[in-house]
Amino acid sequence: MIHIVTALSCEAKPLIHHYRLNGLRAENGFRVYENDGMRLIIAGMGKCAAAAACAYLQGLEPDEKHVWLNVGIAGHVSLHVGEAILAQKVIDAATNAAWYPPLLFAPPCRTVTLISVDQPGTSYMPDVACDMEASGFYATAARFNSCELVQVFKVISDNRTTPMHQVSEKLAQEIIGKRLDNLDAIIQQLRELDARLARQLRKPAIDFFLQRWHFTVAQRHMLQRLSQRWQVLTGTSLDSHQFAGEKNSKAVLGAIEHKISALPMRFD
Amino acid sequence: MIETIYIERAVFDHPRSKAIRSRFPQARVIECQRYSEVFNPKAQNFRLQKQRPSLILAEKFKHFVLEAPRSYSIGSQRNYYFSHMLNCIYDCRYCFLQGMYRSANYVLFVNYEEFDDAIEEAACQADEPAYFFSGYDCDSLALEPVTGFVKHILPLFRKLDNAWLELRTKSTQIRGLLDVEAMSNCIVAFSLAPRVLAEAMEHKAPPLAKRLDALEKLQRAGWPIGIRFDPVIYCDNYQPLYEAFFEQVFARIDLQLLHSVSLGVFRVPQAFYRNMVKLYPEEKLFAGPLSASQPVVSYERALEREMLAFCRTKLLQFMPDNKLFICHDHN
Repeated sequence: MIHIVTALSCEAKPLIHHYRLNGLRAENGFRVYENDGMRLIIAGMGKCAAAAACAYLQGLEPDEKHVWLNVGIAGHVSLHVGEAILAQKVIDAATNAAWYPPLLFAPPCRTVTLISVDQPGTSYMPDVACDMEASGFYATAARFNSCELVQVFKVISDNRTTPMHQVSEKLAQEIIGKRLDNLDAIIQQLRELDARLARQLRKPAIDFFLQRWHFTVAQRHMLQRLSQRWQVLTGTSLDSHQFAGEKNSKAVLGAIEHKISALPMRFD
Repeated sequence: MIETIYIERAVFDHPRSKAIRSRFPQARVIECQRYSEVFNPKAQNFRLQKQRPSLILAEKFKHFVLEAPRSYSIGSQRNYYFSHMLNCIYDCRYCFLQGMYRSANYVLFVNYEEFDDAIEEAACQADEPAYFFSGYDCDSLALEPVTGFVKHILPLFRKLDNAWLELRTKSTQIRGLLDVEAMSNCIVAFSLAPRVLAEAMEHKAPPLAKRLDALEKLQRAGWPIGIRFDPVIYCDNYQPLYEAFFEQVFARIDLQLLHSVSLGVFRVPQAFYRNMVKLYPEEKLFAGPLSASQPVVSYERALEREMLAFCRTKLLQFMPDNKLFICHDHN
């Protein structure tokens, strides 16, 4: 599932429309929209709100790994209004803590260092974009998945010649709407990475064994690993029926090990 | 191809950082305070990053030279290792680095001169020869065109008559060595494995035939050669496989220039092994007859003994006993 965190509803609107997201009825604290593969939350402004929103979304499916994207507007001293950026480094202005989202794909837009401030300001720092959410978002979302799958995408809303007080909800909506092609490309790349990671983390099914015998937690891990080894060496799944005659879990594990040790081990 | 270079603020303008940046003009450059901010965070996936590793240029502050375990000796009582770089451009499935580090990015410490000082100091401390191993946390030669580390360090060893340098490699980047006069105290040690195993496990590394070509060229130029049959990997047909392989290798070896051969079976600390299995659960190597209950995961002791004894017997048909060293991690 792709989890998108925006601060404002005007940032969310073009995404809700483009990805055909439906509002969840049972809202409790945050407005959440979703379709089959994507969930969007409107966090409100600031890094605490962004962090809370991440935790809220993760809480909806706490055992799952999700792709995380912070989407919104940002200021920059010289980049054009409407230009899209992907954060290559996120700095929290208050603590100076920094995060470096790994870029494992060719980004469809410029990559820029992004600093998250607590209060909106009127001055711009050289060569860095400025927002109010990314640090809270990143610090929290990176707890829930590998940081290759946590990214920050922003569209420049203001600069030295078009200062922040000129940014309207309509403008935010418009400039984000115009960069959905960039966002689509990023999401596509992240989905591919997510699929690779899911393949790596996929565990062989052992339910039939668990229904038939009682395994302790440590034994379950052993069974899981033996199942994996069986799959690697035979290309088939481990069939619990082969061990139907075994009295208990210990005997099952022993029997599986015995069978594995007799399997051919060749690399050619 | 390096697409992203992280550079510590303190070495941003270091001449080596500048030179390396200029080799990758298209790379995005990102400043960081310490390399550990990028390299050490927990939530990283080594396997995903290995597809597109970045380069991190950093400064090392301490532990330039460390004592190496005695079981890794190739003839001396005093053994040291040093790591000017962390991680490797190759992707060998048995490599402990993938279990040890969270990140697959390459870290290069650019303050080479401080390595020089530490090596010189360690070398001068005793009267018996000291061995310095450079290929512990990286391949010694694979990134040489970018790092120039070997080019930098060789002159130091030329003037140290009490110190030996081992460059351990799977690389064919040997031009820098061929361009200079061979050194009797610098061993170029090639890690070799039978073709089938190399193809199955040593991803992105030069094929066996190319490594043997490189080895032969260096030998002809007068460089002492080391051969590292480590790790030896078990498979049902390991005996005929390794027998034919040893014959293939020693057909190219000049025994006069052979410094040493070392031999060891696959073994890795348990914590690293667990990470490696998590990263590559589908890897056949890890599905084999390994004993995971010891602090160091390796083949069952009896199998390990059998493999080492077999390989030793076969190797001694080609080479003298005093140049063969067995590596293991137990007493």
